Amino acid sequence: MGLRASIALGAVQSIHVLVVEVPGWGATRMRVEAELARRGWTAARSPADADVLLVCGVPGKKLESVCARIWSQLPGPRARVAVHNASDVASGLEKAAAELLDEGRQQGDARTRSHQPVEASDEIEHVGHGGSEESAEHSKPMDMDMDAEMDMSMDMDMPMPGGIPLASGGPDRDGLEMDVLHVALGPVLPHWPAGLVVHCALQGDVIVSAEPDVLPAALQPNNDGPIGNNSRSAHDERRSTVARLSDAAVQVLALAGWSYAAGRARRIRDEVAAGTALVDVAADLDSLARSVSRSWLLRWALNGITVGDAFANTGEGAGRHEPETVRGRLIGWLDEARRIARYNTEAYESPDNPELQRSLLDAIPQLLSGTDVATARLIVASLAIQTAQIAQAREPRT
Amino acid sequence: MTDAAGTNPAWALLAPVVLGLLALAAAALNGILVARAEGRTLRSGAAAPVFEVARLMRQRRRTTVAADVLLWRIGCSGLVVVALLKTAVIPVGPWVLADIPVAIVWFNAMDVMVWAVVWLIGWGANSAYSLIGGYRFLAQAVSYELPLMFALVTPAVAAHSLRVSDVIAAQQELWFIVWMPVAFVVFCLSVVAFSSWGPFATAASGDIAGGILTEVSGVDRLLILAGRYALLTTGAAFAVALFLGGGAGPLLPDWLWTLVKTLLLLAAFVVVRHRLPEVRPDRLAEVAWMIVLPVVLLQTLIVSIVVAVRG
Amino acid sequence: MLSTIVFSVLAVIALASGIAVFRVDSMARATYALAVSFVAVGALLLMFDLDYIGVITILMMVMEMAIMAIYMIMFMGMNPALMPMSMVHNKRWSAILAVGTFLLLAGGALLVPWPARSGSPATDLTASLGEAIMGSKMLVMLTVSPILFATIVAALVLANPRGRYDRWGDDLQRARPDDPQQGGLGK
Repeated sequence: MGLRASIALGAVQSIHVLVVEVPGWGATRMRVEAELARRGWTAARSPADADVLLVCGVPGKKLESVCARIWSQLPGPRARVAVHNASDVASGLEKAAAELLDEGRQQGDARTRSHQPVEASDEIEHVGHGGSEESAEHSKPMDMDMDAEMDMSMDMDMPMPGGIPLASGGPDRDGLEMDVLHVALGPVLPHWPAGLVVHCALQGDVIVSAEPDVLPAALQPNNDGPIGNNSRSAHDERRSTVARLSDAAVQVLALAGWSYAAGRARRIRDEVAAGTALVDVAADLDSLARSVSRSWLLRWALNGITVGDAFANTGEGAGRHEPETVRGRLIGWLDEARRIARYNTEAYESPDNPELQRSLLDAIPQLLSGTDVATARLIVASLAIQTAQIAQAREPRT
Repeated sequence: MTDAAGTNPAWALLAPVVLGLLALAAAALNGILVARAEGRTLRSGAAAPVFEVARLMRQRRRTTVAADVLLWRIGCSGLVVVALLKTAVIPVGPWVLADIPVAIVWFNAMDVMVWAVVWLIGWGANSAYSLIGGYRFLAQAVSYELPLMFALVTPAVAAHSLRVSDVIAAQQELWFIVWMPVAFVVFCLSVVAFSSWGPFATAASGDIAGGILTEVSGVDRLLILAGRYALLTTGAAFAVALFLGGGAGPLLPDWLWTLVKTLLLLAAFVVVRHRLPEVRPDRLAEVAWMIVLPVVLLQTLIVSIVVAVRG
Repeated sequence: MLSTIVFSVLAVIALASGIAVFRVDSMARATYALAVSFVAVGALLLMFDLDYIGVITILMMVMEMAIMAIYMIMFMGMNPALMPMSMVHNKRWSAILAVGTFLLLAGGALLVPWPARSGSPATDLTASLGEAIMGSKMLVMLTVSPILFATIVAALVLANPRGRYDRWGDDLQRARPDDPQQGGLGK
């Protein structure tokens, strides 16, 4: 076997897949993650890291244009897969691996890729900056990281490298003047709610203002929840709740940087989603909840990060005097999942509550302003917004 | 104790190879731990770094709009270069590339180069997340640097010399880890920190989409990831020389003992990553300056008093 | 012969990167060109067998440039893109002063009749150099460094608009300080 072919064969043993989740296809995304772990592949953290772009679900127009832009940022060799339900996942990944091995196709793809960057649309932004393949001439301006809200009436002769205007200054939280950078968090970020975009004004890495938005799907999946049955018995409700709570715990633990605990929570989630009986995972949930609550390093790292009054009006938050902390939410989820698994009780809150999700979304600007990016990510993850319900509640878009 | 021989040309070629093999072993251990956590076979985990190298060699490089390509590429290749420069002063048995009389200060100077290199990686990409990653590394570096410097000074004080072979020779009766444990722990944590590893990996963490790794792909990414493991390896080897007696030990020849101890310490570093959550630089600062630094200073004071009393 | 060549190369690098500081198109490049210049000077010191001083110079200068880059970019508001910029003011007089100083120092270095070496260099060059420069004032030199540090910290504390009473309340009795970003120890 030639050197090239053996390198290619080695390369497809550890493929990095960038997973784009469309709101509503959470179950498919969880299945994808389980499948990646089973094969020894990794979920990519950014387009530069990815070989395969996998879109879970049918995205709406805005989300589709985001996917197109991300596709153009993947360095070669690359493959693109769309997955619509859990049973398609394995075959989709196999197809992607075969495409990556197909030398002729990859070289054709590389030839047809333009050396000009993709034309930007003004509204949607995504992770980081746009990129092109080789270090070629950039004849057209790339997507604007700086919004057009800047005051363009003055300084028309300002230098604009790469077609992007320089940042202007503004007072920061200590009363000094610092440059303001407009960055959109999402919609494609690791451990981030599907389809959520938060347009931030950053000074350094402190968020000064935040404007959330949800990019909807084109249509909804025909099966709800992680279990994928049309009929929702109480048993399925419990399993879907445990899977949902474990998933939320995975996001917060991963963002806190504790990959080991996040991996354990993910395994529990995948087992529940795959059909294991709840009593079997109860022991794992117990030990996970215990180690998370005992970890003083986690307590210290998450110390003082609260979600304010976002839950003050709900059943959980009523009667509390202090704002809920991220760590408190995390431990609460694990405890509830534990309870449901072991004692077969019902969940406290029903997950289908669009008003609650909307109020969480509206609480974001106030919660995030003045926090740095790391804290903001933890806060958003601990809100555990079900963006599918917000997207559904809007007027239908094409 | 064996005097360090002059520069051996064979060792000059062999040292990078040994460094690469040890770094690969560390990456394999990391892969094994990940595979075990995800329920796969150990073999697939151990082969993971090889597959990752193959994938990155096949991947194309990329650039971003208005990136500072010169500084960016210098940064990407810098980590491996710095790691190689550090191994130049570490003796393995009788071989050492350059047993300079100020080897400990040289090691410190090289890990300050890492500050510049990581920041250049973050800066060059012209991307918000990348920049945040670079700045996070500098914020963390400011916190660990003074404790690291004092932890490096302590064995030098005890051995009356800045030369690594003198430090190894001074440990003939008692290894330094026994009576300077604080310095040892602080040194090991600093090694983990300047390699952007484990609990101190916020410069490259997922909450900023990979931080300094956000926009790099292909051979640049390979160099950065390999550089991290290489820095971890040289740090472990230097800790062995400074605190664990170098090649001292029964039965086996001293070069083999050095390698064995380095591997054990390296394994401990790799395992630490999977056990602990990440520490953010803004939280680290107060702890480093108000608790760790006074403790390390106390350690240095005690060692100095002991050395002065012994005469 | 070899040492002359190495010396000349390092000197040219130091000069060229020093000039580059004012010619490059971005603050980060200017800062790191300065770092290269300092590293070349440190390497020159190594050639004098001043090992400790040479390596410490390299260490300190790279660390300083890394931190200085942050401040330069903070105050000048630059982005990583390369834009033509001008860092000089009052070009005429600064050029005259710079060239004049260079001629004075270079002329001194080349034309002064340096004494011939008597005796041999000490075994510990760093210690003997320290004795020669700081000898009678060693105590002052030892205490200058922590005093400098304390001064910097005191200046920062004084410059901070938020004082104790903003953080801990009017009677200094709050449980945790009211900071925009909580520190690691809650102090």
